Amino acid sequence: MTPNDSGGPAVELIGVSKQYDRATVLDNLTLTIPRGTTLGLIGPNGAGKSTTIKILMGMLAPTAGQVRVLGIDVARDPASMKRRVGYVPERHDIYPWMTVGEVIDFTRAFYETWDESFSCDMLGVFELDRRKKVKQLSKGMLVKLGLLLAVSHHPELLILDEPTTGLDPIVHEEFLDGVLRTICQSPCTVLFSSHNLGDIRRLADSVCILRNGKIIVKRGLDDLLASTKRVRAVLADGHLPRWEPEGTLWQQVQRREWLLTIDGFSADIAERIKAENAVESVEVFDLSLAEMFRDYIKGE
Amino acid sequence: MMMQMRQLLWKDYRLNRGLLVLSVVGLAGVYVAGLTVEFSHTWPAIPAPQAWADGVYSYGHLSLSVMPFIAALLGGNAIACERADRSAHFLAYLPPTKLRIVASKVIVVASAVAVFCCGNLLLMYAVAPRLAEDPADFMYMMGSPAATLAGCLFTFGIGWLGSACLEKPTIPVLAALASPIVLAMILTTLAALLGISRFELVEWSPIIGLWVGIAAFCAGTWCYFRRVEP
Amino acid sequence: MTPRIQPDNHVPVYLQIVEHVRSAIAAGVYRPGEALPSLRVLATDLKVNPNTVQRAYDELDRQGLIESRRGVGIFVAKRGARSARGRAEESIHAAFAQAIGSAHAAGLSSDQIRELFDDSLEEVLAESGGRA
Repeated sequence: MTPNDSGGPAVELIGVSKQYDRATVLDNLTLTIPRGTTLGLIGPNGAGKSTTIKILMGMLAPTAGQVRVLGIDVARDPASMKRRVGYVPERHDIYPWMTVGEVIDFTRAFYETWDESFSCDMLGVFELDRRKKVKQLSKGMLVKLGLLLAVSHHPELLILDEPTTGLDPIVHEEFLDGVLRTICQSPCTVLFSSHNLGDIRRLADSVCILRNGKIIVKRGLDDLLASTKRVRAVLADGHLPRWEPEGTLWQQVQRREWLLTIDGFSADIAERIKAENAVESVEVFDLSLAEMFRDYIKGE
Repeated sequence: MMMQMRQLLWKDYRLNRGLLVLSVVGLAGVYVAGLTVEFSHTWPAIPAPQAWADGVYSYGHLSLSVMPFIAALLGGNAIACERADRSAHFLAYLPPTKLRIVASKVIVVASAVAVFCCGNLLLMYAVAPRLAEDPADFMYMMGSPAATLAGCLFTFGIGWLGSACLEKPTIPVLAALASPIVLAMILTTLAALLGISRFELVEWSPIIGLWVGIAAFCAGTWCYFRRVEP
Repeated sequence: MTPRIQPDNHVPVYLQIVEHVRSAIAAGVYRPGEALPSLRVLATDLKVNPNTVQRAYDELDRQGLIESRRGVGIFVAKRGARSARGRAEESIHAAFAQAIGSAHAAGLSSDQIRELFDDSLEEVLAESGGRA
């Protein structure tokens, strides 16, 4: 296995656009994911998360831009990229006529780094029956099989596209366990798109919020939560806000209550709000990830 | 590399297994039907060795002539069958290159056709002469083995092209099955327009079919390689 | 004891882990010199990214509660228990100081404040079943 550049980022998207006739799904997207980190990709439906992931995996051609995964140009050499990447798609289309055992044997042949004992371990932990046909598997078992196939060769990059959607709570936990076992076993970069903010909170080091094919923000998760605050200012009678801070993502005025969500909040900003506007008081609140996500999406 | 090809070949064999079984039944069925007819002529007496030899030889020839339709089935099914149940999407994010995927399919189909042809030829030229001297061929109008081979490549190529471009195997298979008739119609019309005799037409059609088949196969392979979506 | 990490809580996950380990050390669940769960074990137990656990352990190391010995493991520092309790005591001390300050401002004398304190202590102990 020739390491192309073990020091470079795991994923590089440079000016990537994707257009279908008149619809622009991705708009000049530039994103870099450093090795060893876990990035959570969040966004409303139709924001372009799945499209981005399919382009990374070489299953969709971008209209413009460059895509490099583990230093490899995906358009030029998809095969060597795929040997080092594990992918769990949103829809599992594994050969329905194969048995679990046959699928594993089939997949194993394509990866030099396949770890048979790790794979057997996971088979046991996930309680998958080798003799069962794929078409007989429930959704939960199918998803677990998909994960097993993706991680048994110790990929350097693991890509998960909405992996836990529609899973019951028990399988959900099993799936997270499986992902964590993989991360702990060998250094791995993880990119996952999810609607489940709990998963994002647990797994992600940094998040990237997509909307309408553009990146709204990409930052460390803890940093984002610490620097984004909700401010409640009580306006003086008959007055409206005059000045809003630069990082205002969202705001609303109801009666005398002026609510703002501010990115990059500081005590100075609170002072300025009081100074520049006719407000009687200013209170600051922390936001949960769900509230913050909503405000980033709603705003602008 | 060997492990990869082994698994791909196994997978393509399993995908086509149903069609292969159908083909064996069909090809054997020709013999069974034909020889039953012979038997019925002489019932309740058993036909003479010469009759058996003629029968095996002739029905072998007929069976051989069925090969292009089998090639049509296999060609039309080749790529589109994985798109129909979306398993092509699964294969797409696994490492094997498109070259290996295509090579595996071609090997499986070519091997199957070769085995079937050899089976027939064996019966015609090794078994029949042992039953009696100089077996007669009352299926001589079916064309030579060479023409049959050209026919196989023609229908396979048309089926392959359709399979590479479309999402389900139904249309490619039907198109491939109908293709000999369509070609015959086109050539007859051309011959009438250009004033070429029927005789010359029959002489030239295998060559034309062969080259159209090869061109269609190349075009199909090119389409498959160019296409980014699985 | 592995309490669940609260994903909805706005407190960074790594700080939640720091607090969880700190209180365990303060309570004596882990004694000085004892080994703490490895990165892997804790990450899988809590179902969080091992990077986050690493960050938590780094912070605990910085606070002097734990020490990590290369190749051997992560252990409670010799002064760990005291530091752990010390931090708890620090914040309680601050809370007392604030309450006493408010009491003074309200005009209570030192004796009155002490009486108030004894009453409150008795109340709380009675409620929780008397843990001295």
